[in-house]
Amino acid sequence: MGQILLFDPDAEHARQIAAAFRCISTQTVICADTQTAASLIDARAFDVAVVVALPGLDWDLPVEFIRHSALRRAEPPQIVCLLRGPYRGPSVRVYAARKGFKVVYEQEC
Amino acid sequence: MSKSAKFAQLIQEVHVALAERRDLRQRGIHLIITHARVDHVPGTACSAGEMIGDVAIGGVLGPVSLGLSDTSKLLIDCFCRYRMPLTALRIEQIMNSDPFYFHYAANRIGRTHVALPDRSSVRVYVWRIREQMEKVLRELGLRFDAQRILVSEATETNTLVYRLKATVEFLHVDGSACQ
Repeated sequence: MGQILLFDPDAEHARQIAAAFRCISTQTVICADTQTAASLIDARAFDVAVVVALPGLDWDLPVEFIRHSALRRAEPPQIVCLLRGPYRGPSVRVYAARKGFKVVYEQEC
Repeated sequence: MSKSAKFAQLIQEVHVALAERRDLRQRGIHLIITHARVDHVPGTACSAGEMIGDVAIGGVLGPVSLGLSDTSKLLIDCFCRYRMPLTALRIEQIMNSDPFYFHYAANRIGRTHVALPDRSSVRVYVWRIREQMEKVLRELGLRFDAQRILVSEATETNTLVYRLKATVEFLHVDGSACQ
């Protein structure tokens, strides 16, 4: 069973994502702040770390913080960033590819 | 829009990431070995006198060279072509009997002598290859223990055998550029 760390400051939103992950048989651990995410990454092995980023210019700050914690591990989790809000052009995905993580956009309701 | 549809793209991405991780654990990394020969006939197998132009990691944005020395390239090539656990002694025997290694780079213009790994130097070259692999993987943001790619295992008689855990692809190119 895949181990997923889900960082999302919005508790209700995090609960919805965790529920959606059940269809791919994963075990999801939710956290709402970057310090807890870093401690969890230090303490146990995750396959994937999902970082939910809120709209704004500094969307990449939590991703970078968690990425740096992950890179300290012998086998770091793959980081997937879920961007909320409007499409921001190709530069976001190019930046993510260079840094070794993936970016997906949340589908608008 | 349902909740699962809202996160469909995320679920797909995480599903693929989990599958990639499983694949990496089970099959190791992907290596691309480029053989070069001036008169290589396309579609034919590797032959004596060819050179190993490069050993690169594939499966990333583009092949990334491991930057290995000639002797290390010979050793990696041997693991890739023989696909079985090899002792240092067996590697030395292969180097001295397989025409590909014995006549290695015989068609190269200029310096032709390349030191073949022998039973005493295999351990050192394996260590160097692992160091170089880890360096390149780190630069690619892929922290991966090279001891799990180039594996050493002890037999029941305590003899050390080496085995490469990777998928391999051989490319043959016109070697005039590699002289």
